[in-house]
Amino acid sequence: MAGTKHDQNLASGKTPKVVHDDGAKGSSKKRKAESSEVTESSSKKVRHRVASPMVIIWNTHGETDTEEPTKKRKRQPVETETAEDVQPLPTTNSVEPSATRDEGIVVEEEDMADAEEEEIIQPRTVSEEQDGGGELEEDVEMATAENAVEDEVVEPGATTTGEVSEAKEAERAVVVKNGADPSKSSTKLSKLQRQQNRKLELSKLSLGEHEVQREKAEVDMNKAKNKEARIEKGRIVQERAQELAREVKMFKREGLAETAVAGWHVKEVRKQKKRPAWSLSNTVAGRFINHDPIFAKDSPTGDAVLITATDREILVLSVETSLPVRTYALRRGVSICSFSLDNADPESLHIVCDNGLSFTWRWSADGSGPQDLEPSDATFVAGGLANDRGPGLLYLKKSKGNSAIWSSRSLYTASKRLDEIQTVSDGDYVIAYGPEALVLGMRKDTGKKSNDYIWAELPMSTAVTCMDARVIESDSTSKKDKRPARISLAVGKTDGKIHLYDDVTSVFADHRQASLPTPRVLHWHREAVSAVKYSRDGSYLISGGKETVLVLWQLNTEKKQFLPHLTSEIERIVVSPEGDRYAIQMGDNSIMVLSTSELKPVANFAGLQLACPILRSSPTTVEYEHEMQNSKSVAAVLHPRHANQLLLAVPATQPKTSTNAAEARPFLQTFDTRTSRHVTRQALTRNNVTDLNLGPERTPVAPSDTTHVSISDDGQWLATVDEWMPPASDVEFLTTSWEELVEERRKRREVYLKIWRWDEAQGLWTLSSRVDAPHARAAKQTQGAGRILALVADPVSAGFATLGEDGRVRIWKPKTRVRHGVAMKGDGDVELVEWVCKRTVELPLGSEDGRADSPVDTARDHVPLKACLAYSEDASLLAAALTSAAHTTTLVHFLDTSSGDIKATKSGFAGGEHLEHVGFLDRYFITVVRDAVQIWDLVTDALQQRMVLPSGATLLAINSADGTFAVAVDSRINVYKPAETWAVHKDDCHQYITALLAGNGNKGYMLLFDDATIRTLALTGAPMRRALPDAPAAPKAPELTIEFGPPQDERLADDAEMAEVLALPAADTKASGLILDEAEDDRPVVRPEQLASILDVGQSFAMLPVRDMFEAVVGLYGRRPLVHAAA
Amino acid sequence: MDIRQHVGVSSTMDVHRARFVPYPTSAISALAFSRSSDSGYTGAFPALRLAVGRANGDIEIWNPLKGQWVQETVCLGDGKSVDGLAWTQDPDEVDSEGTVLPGQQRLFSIASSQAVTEWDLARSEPKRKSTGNFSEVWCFAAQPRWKTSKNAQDEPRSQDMVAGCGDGTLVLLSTADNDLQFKRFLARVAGKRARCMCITYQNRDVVVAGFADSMIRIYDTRNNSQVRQMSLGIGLPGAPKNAFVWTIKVLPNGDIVSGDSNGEVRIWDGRNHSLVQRLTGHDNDCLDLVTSADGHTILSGSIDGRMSIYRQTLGEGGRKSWAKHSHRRAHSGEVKAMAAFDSKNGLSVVVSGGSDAAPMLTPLREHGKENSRSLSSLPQQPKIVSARKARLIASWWEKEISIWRIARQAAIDDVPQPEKPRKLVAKLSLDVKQAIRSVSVSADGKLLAAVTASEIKVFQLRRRTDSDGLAVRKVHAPQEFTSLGARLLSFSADAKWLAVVTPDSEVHIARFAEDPEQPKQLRCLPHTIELDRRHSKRAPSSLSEYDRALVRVAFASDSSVLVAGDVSGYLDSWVLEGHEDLTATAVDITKHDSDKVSSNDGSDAESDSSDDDDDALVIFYGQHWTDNPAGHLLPKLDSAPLALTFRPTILTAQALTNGNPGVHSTRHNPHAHSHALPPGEHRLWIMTARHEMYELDVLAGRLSDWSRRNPTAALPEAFRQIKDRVMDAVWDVAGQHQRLWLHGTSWVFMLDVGGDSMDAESVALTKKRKRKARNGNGEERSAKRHQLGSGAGDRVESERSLGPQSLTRTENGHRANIDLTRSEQNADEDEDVEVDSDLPALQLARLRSNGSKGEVARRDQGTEGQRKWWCTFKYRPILGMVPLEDATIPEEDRMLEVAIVERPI
Repeated sequence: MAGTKHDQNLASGKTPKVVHDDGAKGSSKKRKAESSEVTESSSKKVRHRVASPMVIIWNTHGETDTEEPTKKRKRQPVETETAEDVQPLPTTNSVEPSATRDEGIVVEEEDMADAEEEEIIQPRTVSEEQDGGGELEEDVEMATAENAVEDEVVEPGATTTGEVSEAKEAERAVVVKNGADPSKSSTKLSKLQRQQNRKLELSKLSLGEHEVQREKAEVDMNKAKNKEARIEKGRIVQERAQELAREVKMFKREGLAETAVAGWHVKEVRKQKKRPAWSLSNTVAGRFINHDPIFAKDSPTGDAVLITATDREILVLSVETSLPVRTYALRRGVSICSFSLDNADPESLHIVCDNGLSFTWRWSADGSGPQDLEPSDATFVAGGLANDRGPGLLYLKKSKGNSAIWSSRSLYTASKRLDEIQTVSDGDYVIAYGPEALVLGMRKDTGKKSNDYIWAELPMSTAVTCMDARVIESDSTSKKDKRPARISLAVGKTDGKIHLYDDVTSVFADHRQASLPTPRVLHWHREAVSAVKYSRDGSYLISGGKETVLVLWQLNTEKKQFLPHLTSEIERIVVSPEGDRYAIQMGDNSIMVLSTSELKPVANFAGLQLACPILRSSPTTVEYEHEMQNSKSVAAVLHPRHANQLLLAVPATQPKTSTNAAEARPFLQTFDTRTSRHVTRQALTRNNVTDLNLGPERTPVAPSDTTHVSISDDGQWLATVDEWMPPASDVEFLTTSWEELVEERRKRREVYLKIWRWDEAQGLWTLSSRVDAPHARAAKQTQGAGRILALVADPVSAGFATLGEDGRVRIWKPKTRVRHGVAMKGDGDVELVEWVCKRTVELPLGSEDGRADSPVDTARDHVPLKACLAYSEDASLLAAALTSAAHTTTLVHFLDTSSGDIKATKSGFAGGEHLEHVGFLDRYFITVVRDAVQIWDLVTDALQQRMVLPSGATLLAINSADGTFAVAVDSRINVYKPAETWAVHKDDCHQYITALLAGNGNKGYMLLFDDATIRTLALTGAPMRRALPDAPAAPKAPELTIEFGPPQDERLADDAEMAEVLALPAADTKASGLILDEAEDDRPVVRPEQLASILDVGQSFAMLPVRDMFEAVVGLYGRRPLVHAAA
Repeated sequence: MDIRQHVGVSSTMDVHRARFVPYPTSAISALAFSRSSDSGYTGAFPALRLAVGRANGDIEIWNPLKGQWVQETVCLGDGKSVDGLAWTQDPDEVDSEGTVLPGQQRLFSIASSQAVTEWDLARSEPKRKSTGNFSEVWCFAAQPRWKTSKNAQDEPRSQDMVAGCGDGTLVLLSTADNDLQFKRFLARVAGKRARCMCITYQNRDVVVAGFADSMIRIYDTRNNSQVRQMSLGIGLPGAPKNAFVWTIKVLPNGDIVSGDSNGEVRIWDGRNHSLVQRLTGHDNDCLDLVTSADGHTILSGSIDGRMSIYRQTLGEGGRKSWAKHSHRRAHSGEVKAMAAFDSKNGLSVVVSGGSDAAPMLTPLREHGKENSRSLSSLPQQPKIVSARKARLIASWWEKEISIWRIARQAAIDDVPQPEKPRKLVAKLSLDVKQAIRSVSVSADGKLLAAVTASEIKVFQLRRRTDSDGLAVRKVHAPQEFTSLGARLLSFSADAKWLAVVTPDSEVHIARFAEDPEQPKQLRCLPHTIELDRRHSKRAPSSLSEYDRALVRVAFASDSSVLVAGDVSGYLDSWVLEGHEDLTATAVDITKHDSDKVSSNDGSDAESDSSDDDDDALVIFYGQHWTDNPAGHLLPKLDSAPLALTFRPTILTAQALTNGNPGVHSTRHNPHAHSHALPPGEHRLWIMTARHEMYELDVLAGRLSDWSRRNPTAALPEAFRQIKDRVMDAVWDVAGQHQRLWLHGTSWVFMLDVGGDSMDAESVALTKKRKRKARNGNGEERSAKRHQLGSGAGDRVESERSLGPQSLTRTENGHRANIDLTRSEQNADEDEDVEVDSDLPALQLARLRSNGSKGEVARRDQGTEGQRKWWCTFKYRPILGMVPLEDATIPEEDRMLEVAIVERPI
């Protein structure tokens, strides 16, 4: 391999750097969200161009920037919208801005506008993404890896001279992580290490090294190609040095990073350099966990911040700006249970995860990592975290049927479930509660900070929903009162009462004297009290519940103040330490900060209000299930003009309990995905969030559910479909059986098509037309309104098309209202428009499909369950298809939108399969059936391609702008180009995708996940970030197109190799050697398994068509060399 | 409405469910305890009573009986609403022997008039009124009791009273010397709206009054000066401009608490009269409030029926502050009046009343840990009587008597000519001054007697021939008899005797017989007699006269024994000597046997009848009433008897010679009369206010054997848990069984008293328990006292309790369960506590029967198969249950037939 010593040095000097670069890329993604994908990719592309010069200049420039990274890191907390521009701080090195500027210049070469936009708006400094390899490892392994990393980091630091830059140090650390000593030949050392390390790690390491080698080769190539870039090398190097240093920090901090990831980064980078790549952005949005936010002071700025968390991220939110200041993300697969500020050091945040890991994060300093990773043996931490100087960290641990209060050891095991814990008076008292019990602990000896507690467990007759404790220091003058303090307790119950205990310390009295006076009862809430808190001075009690009313109880006079008509039910209330703010976490995934004095909102943090996935138990009938499933598909669109605005039908409140009322989505939320900010929310249907929403029988009144949303091309018109059925309990008396009940409900179904016009002045959608019952019910039933199964917008002009269960397609067009031949004008000189059904086309209902004559058809079989509707790009053609239970094959009808004629009817799109989605892309017609994607050439009227998908719920999005379409199956997403025979991009997001939306322009795709997070998948012009490594998915999940897609693409080949290597770690030497060779001559290597996967399908009838097979084989061998591909 | 139904299979009884009796209930307008707490008393506590004043002017005296609440007596009013009640107690006196005679407790009331009325509790009627030159009295209050101070030269002083009038005048009245005298005007507040709404004493010298002009004024009675006035400010938006101070009370520490028409409760400092705190307790007017004895709890009641409780707690920095604890809708109407009694260990309740007429008991000390309980709004003594043979039932209120006839079942079911199930056959509006206190009808329905406090009226009823109605004829009785007035009366079973209890609790008897001239008419024999009551030595009591008031009177089924029981539980009994001799003179008056030698000639008896001296002996048809020779052996009951009834004895046909054999008038013995005592057993079955059950053999003066075997403890658990007291009892002795049907306002209970109804084990258990208690370790006693509830309802069930009732305490890994309620399990235990000391005789009897355990068991087996008891709560509230009889059915087939008169709520 390495020939001369110089070469070796060079290699060794370079290799780590490259590794670093990639590592930086990988983890910069983790924490660096301020720069957009595009920006990053562009900057990196530049970097790569000058990759080899860097190697030379490294040592000279690296030293100058020793302090730089840390400074930058420290600045990052305050980076907000204009982060890049306001970089200079008093301490800033002058070099730094130039580097930034360089970056900017480089960006200009690429796509200036986009980049800047992205840069400015992405406010985050820290974000995830610790996926892929991380998931492979178990926690223990992770912990050891972490330790190893830490050790290694310290060691080089100790041995290196004072001149050694932090960046270099970091570099080494990473190399160590990769299993190689920077001072030696990486290959050899990796061998050594292999013997010492565990198998899995080993394999990854080897791979990483192998990648390093390949990287080197590539860098050489690039060097030749990109000589002109050398002039910028100095700055680039600086920048890189910073990044590297940052990376090191990241690795240190995350502790969750591991070698394999780093290795993968290498590979990814190498690939991405070669041509534009698809990449997933980091996650935005998410749901706040059900935990009290914490008010804190941000030490650098002194600003008030609110610390809260989503499942995977700790967020520090600025109360001043309503923006996140910094975030800290966990790797996937771990969710945050609870967090708490350290009492002694309010800048440290203790975090407990659901797998029992707890660690400390210095939240005030940006970029600091978890300092204290203490794996506990807790199998599951129920949450509830309290921190104290005395006992240290207290948390609740759940075991079978009961809960324990833990610190370093089990302090108390309760017989009932406990949910939350609170300490007061420096840990002299510990109070924990669950629905059925209240546990009070008093430290035996208040003087010493021991962990000896006296515990009292009080069973509760009505379930406790919330609790707040408050210590009242007793008057020092009061005589012989030995008790240090009195503990007041406010306990909220499910029956809407708040019980107020003035002093609960009496329960700790001796056996005979122990008593508990009857509590004060505050009863205003109709339903369960969700949150209750004392004000700072104890004279008020603040409570909230489902009524969407904040109640302030003046405890002395029994007077109540109300803040009614909040947008959603109150889940959490927190009072700031100064008492001047209330933070209210609400059911619509938002946190509002109110000023105490005026009850005016100070800040609002609204998340994406995507409806929670509801785990449906006890399936009723398959049909009903199916119907519900369909109706619950996410109704969301992207605004065509404002590419980052996501319009989403959302529920009034995130359902805590599965009721009809909670599931319905009567609101439209506009969410800016770029800034991860809530824009507006408006009601689309009648709703009763803030009214009395219980019927006479105390059943919730169900609002309508918005099932479809569509927006016209010009962004002026929004069409929504909402549906309402009376709750089953209302019509139950009419029926005797389930079927009758379903029928009775359907008879009373109400369906409205509403068309809204954008009112620029008000910034609202105003209702323009409402169509009652636009479609009839299937099977010619007259009672009730038929469901609308599909709604699409005309891609060219204002207009919508609907397809209802009656099998009709209706095309809706605006019509200017004319009076006496003059167009009527409304307010603001807007032409009054009414929407009319311009055309109705009845689809022939399966008469040709051979099953129609079946006499056993019941009316129910004809009820279409699923409909596909798609406009062609020029809106001349409309494809419509209906699937019902009776038909196995689905017909696709092509309608001429101008005449309304059915131009053609085709079957065979879904032979024996359910047609899930259809779409036009250029001259191709794309159908998604279960387990496959088919691309039809409409010109030749032939099936061009068929690509197999894994089974699962599919989503289709077509982006005509870049000529691609994407198919999502559960958590995986594939991007295709019709002309190409393989997936352009494949990814596994490890999170269930609930909606897939085609971005406008070249934005690629937007993915909505069921945890209310959003990511974008975009084609970036240059290597910028690694795509998500799908390494972990390889061994366990089947590749999306493993049958069909021959890994002609090198990336796929790599996938396969990796899979092999993972499977056979013993053959490492050989493998790496081989791969190294292969990397150098860059010819496709086709392994027998790959061939077998194409040819060896077992039964001859299951074989692919000959043409497909041929293409597949050619795909294996006929790959273009990588170099050319990159060019 | 009349619903006829059969009850149960094994305990057959025909029930006429009657809801047609329009008995009016009256709202509660005033409440007062005779003392508010146990503190401040030296020596024995004076008797505790609760006076309940109603809108119709009635005042009911309730005895809390340590939580067993029984309505003892009712003072019928004149129809004017009782607006206020107050008790005073005269200073204690020491008699010549050095024993302390407790001062008498006196009850005063005001009733929308210009007078303060004192009530004679023993007679249950107004005693005196104090009027003066002042306008209508709106409120009044009694001065706190005088307390012995260190300088002993102070003479004990009586309590004054202060009355607030509608014109803003405050009047001082003196109760000294067992009188009620106008003392002087305290103040006169000028102004249009200066009506005094409420008044109270802050201490013995300072009076605090609330006015309708939203002012609170404080006066010093020593110098008639106004100390201070505080304003509530203007009313809340929407309320009248001037807030009414509806109620004002003073806490033990001198702080003043006011409740006003804004629904606010305000606490004022007692010394500097500054506003300490204002609490928004109600959305509407706060009409009344009470405070606990320790001054840490306030309860207020509002016009919407809500009661709020406030507690004083330590606030921030050890500062005491009041806070509303909780509220509860206690009444369906408003809460008009509240009264509290709060002792440290025993009773601690708040009684509230309003337009829903039922007093509500709310625990005070144990608030939240004990349930509230509603007492009955109906009178304890049934206001329903029946003539069982004539199938008439009569009910009365105010000055009216209504009589219905209940059709026979057969007649109702008669297909061709169905009869109306019931018919109002007579309605008597009496020309009397006061309301009717009691009515009695003879079993054959021929005689009806009605009494008021000053009149006795007797009527003969006869069925009209032409219609269903009744012809009513007044029966003339001697003037001196009818003018006695009465509180109780009873016809004997054979309708020959009428016993009346006068307001002074004397017992008089009149004899009715057919008029020899007009055989169809009944007449009252011209002479009536008074029966002497035994004067046993009684413990000095603060209600000494009241304690002797007779509350129940009963004739034996053969009319030969009369028993009367008084409030304190003493029984008086009389027997009818001799045999009826219709040939003898109707009325023969003679001297007692002891001095018959010196007898005058009997001819002047008639003229001398008014001179009814004790020595006179009146013989009616050869029979005369005399004291029961064994009467002194009858024990004092633990409390007032509520059900007093003789076990019916099936008379063995005593076909002896008519009259008194061998008793003939001779010259030496012109008024010969027999001294033969009535034959047979006369077993008196008693249930007292404590629901203790006794059966006494009256002529033997001891407990009957049955009672020895079946003490109270042997009553089924289901019965012992019943809280409403027994009202009356109906015997069912047809056939083989001997059953007793008891009823209270909410329950009907059948008890088989033929055999031994009880299981031996529980009896034995009780005895053991009792013996232990008697062995007299004070600990046990005190522990038991501790176990007593606070006088309201039972302990709150754990699932409904406000706070937790128990906790698990863990220390050093050692777990212990602690009960936070400290409640006590069985309510039946407390009932036994008091018995021991009072009833040595009973105790002895029980102990003696201890040996007969085997017998009990055997008898148990013998009566196996029959229900021993049966209980229902489905009739409510019951005004009365009276027996009826269908003479057409042969006696052996007859089932018990009763009419249960309900008052729909």
